[in-house]
Amino acid sequence: MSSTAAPAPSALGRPPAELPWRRSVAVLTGRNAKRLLRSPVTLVQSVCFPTLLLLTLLAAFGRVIGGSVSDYAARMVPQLVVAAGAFGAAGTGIAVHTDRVSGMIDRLRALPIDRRGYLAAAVVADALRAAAAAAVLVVIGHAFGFRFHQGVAAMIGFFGIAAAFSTIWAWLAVRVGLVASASEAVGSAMNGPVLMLFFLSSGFVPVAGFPGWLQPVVRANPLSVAVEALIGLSAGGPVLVPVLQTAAWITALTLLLAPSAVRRYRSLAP
Amino acid sequence: MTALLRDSSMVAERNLRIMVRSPSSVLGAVLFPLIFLFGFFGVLGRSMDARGLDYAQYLPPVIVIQAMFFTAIASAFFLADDRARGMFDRYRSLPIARGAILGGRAAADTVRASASLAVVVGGGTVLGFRFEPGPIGAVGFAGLALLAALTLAAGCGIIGLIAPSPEAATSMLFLPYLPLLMLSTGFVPVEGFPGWLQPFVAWQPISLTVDALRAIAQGGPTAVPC
Repeated sequence: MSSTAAPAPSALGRPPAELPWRRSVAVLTGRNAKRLLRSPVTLVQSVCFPTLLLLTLLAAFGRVIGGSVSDYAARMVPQLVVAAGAFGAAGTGIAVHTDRVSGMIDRLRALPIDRRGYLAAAVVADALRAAAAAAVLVVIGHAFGFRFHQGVAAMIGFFGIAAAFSTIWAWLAVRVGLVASASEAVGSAMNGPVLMLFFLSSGFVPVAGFPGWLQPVVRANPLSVAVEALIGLSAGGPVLVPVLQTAAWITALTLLLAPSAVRRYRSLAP
Repeated sequence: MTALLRDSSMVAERNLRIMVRSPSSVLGAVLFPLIFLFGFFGVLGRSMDARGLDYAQYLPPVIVIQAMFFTAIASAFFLADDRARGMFDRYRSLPIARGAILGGRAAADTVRASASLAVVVGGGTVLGFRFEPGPIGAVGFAGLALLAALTLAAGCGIIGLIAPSPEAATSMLFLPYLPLLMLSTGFVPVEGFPGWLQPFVAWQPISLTVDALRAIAQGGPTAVPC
């Protein structure tokens, strides 16, 4: 008995080689994407909600603020493309929270995959989600007069910026998901700041429409600069300065949020 | 009857404890209505004032109704949560009046709605919102707003009782909430909407309720839509 119970040396052998980090990210991104597509709640939040918001805001404010629905669509589609990244990111934060409390993160750590894979995949999957939401909004916006007047390269830039900008919210969501005490807390921690930025954005009304004392805040709002960059790349207008400002915001906030999320992830109990 | 009231207040107290301890519920009741009030005022105030509309007087009623919607959606969430956790079965095994389950829910919702109402009216007062008829107007305004909250909570509660999960209830309720709120006379007068949409905007229930609240606050004719 005791002699036969010893496992064959080959079964112990060398541990399987660690999955290289790109494969790790790809596999985990696929997992996140599947989970996203299978969760009706997340789909509603990241696609239906911004679409419905676009339609109702165009109907309600198109004529009053924009002069006409099609003029307002040129502004409101970029605003909602940027906002959809933020609204949907709460779902990513909740997913990270669920992985943490359900022991999934511990399980992944026990597997021979690259340690960096988990956080990177959460952010990449979120950026893909934001790009998909942007595509839906663009298609629906097209019916109301939203157009790309600046060519194909500008269109690619439009989606690139939309996805890159959404990584800010993804990092924030991951950071919040790693510390939140309850899954509802993830949403409430994110929605307040996101709502305030949403209102104080020049996507709603051009900067000049805000009270004078608020205008500097509106101009500096990361949502405003991203919206101006997206407007420049679709309807037309200044591109270089808003794109550089957007890149500066993305860099600054990523440098602020990503290392803190990584530290937090590393310090999770093994 | 006394048993129903006593048991309802006991259930209401339990519901309120849960709501006060949930950060999202507290933020939804107190902070979000204020963000929407000041946000929409900041974004639209100048354009609307330029069109000859006193927006400080015009806007708060719809933010009140929005807050009542938040209360109703939260109510559905907590009903669904109780159902998912087997709390209803637990209640049924207790020697309490049957009606107390919903009575306690409605009472807790009324408390939350009152808190939101006070916050929005307070914020509106800072912007320049006034009850022209004085205290009687304020009482009528509060009465209609709370009645709207209970009506919405009853409607949303149906979804809360059939939804597969509390989160699903919240998501599903966004679908009627957003169009009813945005496509109303709450933010923009009916003339601001595309022509084909105007009949819906003018006559849908949220518009009529907001118009009535506005008429009460202004001391204008309140019997029929104006």
